[in-house]
Amino acid sequence: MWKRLSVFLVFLVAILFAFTGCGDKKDPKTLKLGFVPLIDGDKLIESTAPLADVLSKAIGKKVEIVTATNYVGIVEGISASKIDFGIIPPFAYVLANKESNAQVILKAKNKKGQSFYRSEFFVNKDSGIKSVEDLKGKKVAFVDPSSSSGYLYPGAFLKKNGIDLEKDIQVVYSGGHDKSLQLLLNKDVDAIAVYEGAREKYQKEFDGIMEQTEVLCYSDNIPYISVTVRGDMTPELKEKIKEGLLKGLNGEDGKKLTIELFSLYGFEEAQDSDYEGIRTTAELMNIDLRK
Amino acid sequence: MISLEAYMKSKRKENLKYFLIISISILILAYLIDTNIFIFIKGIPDMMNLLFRMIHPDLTYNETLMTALLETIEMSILGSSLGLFFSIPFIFVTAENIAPSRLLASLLNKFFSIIRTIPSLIWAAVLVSIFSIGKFSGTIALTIIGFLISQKLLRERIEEIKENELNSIEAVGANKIQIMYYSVIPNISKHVIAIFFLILESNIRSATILGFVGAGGIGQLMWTHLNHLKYNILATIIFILFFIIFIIDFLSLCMRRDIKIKLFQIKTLTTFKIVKILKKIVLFFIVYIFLKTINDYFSISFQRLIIGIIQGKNIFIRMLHPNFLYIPKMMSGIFESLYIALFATIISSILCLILSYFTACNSSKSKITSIFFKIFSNILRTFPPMIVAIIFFRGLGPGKFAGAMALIVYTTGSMTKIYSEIIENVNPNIEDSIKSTGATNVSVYCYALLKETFPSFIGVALYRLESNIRNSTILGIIGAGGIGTLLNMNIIWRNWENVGMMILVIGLMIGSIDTISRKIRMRMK
Repeated sequence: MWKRLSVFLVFLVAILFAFTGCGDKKDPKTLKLGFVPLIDGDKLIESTAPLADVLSKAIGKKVEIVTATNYVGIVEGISASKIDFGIIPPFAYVLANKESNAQVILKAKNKKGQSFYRSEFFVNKDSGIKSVEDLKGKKVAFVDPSSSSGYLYPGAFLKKNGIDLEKDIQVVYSGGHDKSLQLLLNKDVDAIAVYEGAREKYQKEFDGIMEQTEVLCYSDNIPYISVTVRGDMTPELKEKIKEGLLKGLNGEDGKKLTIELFSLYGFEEAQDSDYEGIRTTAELMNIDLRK
Repeated sequence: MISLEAYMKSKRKENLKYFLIISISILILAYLIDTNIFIFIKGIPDMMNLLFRMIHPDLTYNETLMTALLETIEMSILGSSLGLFFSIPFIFVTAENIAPSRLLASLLNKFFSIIRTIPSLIWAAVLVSIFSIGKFSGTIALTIIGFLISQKLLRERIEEIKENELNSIEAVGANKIQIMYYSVIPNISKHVIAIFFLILESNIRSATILGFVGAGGIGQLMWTHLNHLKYNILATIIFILFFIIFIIDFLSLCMRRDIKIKLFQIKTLTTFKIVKILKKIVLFFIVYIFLKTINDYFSISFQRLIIGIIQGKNIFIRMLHPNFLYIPKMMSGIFESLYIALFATIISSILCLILSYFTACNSSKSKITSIFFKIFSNILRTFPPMIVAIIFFRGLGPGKFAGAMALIVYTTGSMTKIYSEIIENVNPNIEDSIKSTGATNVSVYCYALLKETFPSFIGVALYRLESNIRNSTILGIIGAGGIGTLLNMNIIWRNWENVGMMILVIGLMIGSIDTISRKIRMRMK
């Protein structure tokens, strides 16, 4: 039995050796683009293949798009040079920058041409809550302690306005922007904080949400999606990717695709300082993101 | 009449046939998921880097952790016991060898196997609709999960009871209920304990669903720290979880092996009667505490419940109108998931057979080896799959290969646990009879324990295959594609028609795996 098993294992290893083929990290033939679909976005991405074609043409190297549902994998991939560049949320950029000196090269613009978005606080119209002060003693639903637009920014906003999250209000986490809206509609909570546009996105699902609820206030501006390259990339390649992306994504085909796929309306150059807001906000919420 | 030599020859031929079939399927699957050993070797330093960052547990971090942990344990105990409790009546109706009606049994089994494909995110959406968020929803979610696991595993244990055992009891004139009482219940009571602890453990370990229904818990805490890349705090949580799971494992072993602390000896009939009454009183109090805690969790009004039920119903109605136009878009995802799951399950099964030999305390050479391997398989299991996935992502880059490796680690751990416990429950007579011929430990394992429990092993392997196909989170996080990513995104977007379609297809696939599983197990018996 053991003899047979060991033969089997040797065979197995031999099989695994059979498939080979390696890449070069300095000047790779194919570039890997990591992409994290935004839960706060309003389109569900079904195929990234056309975008890969546009980018391959613009950069002059073959681009492979990897879609991951969470940014942690992409951040680790970037820091281990397994991913060359990523279209990732701002919080993920700051983490990648802290961990492996990854550099932001571009930031995206939304429909209004702004490179930021916000969170909204909603209340029921008949709740009698008219100002941030009125939230004291009320039940407020956030999305999830790790969500930027569903917790960090709105939480920091309340803190800045003199509301202690632990003492003044009762905090609950709903587990999803859609669920927060539902809780408010069912009057399980008094107020919620979700990304701007969530109510419009789910209005078909939750009957009467547009009539029953109203905006209380907005959080500070949250920097928008970043294009981040790995920290150990040569400046030439970085420049090449940057030029290529600007050309490709702002060009006619590229723009049409990014609008259709991600609701992103063009890209512009970005510096690290554009994302400083994330660091200060996180600091206020007791998360250390500085190097 | 064939000679012994000819028999052995034909036997060897048959073995060779199986060996080749398995090898070739591994080869094909390895090709389909882009296996590459050089990338693996090259990636080792990158993987070690992440592990080293986890080595420094932050033991000062404990207050929030302890609250979350206690909440999780509380809800898990409640959910697991309720789930197991509610599943027991269904087991007697669904186990095909003792069910009153075979047709009903197979219909119910089909139904449950479709229900099992419903991902926890959908349960979360429905429960939030009906019961709002909080601990009550959390407990119900865990109850549902526990119910579905125990229905499947216990039913399979019953179906493995030898037919002549049932017949022999029937032959002395026992009716159906007496058969249950004297044959089925004693046979599965040890498995019930093992399965209870299994559910409890998996509920505690992967209580991510509690986060989805706003019940907090340790899963949400882990997720938050993972999202902030605080690996040292993650390591702390994993370390504590590991400790708890080890205790649970030990309890499970003690209870199955009847190692009881004898507080008082029962010598006379009166003490026997008193103990019996005391047992009833204790049971009553436990049930009372259970009901009271659940009642405390429940905090919404009747009107709110009605609104919720209507909303929950809408989700189901929309899922029952599947969007057939979605089929072409999901097919590639389904195949990817299937290849990855098949590859991971086959490799893990082989690893599990080897590990179980060392792990089960009746086949292992010594108690110390057994304990060592128990710890090892616990480590494999306690590492949250998403973290294993990220480690492999870091080392191997994105793709199916990393996904399969991550699944292998977890699957091997949990299969070894379930299977080694099945081996431990084998009647010692079987072992002894082979031992008495002078066989070595290894031969006892191969020819007695393995042979005796092989149908269960196939069952366990197919169960893991099923859950690997469904396993969405791991593959989605590391960009390995698969049906899970699509499913998750569609649930978040609340496209219930697409979700319904996907569940239908996955359900059909898993339903057929279930049928194959039953066929194989029946034939092997």
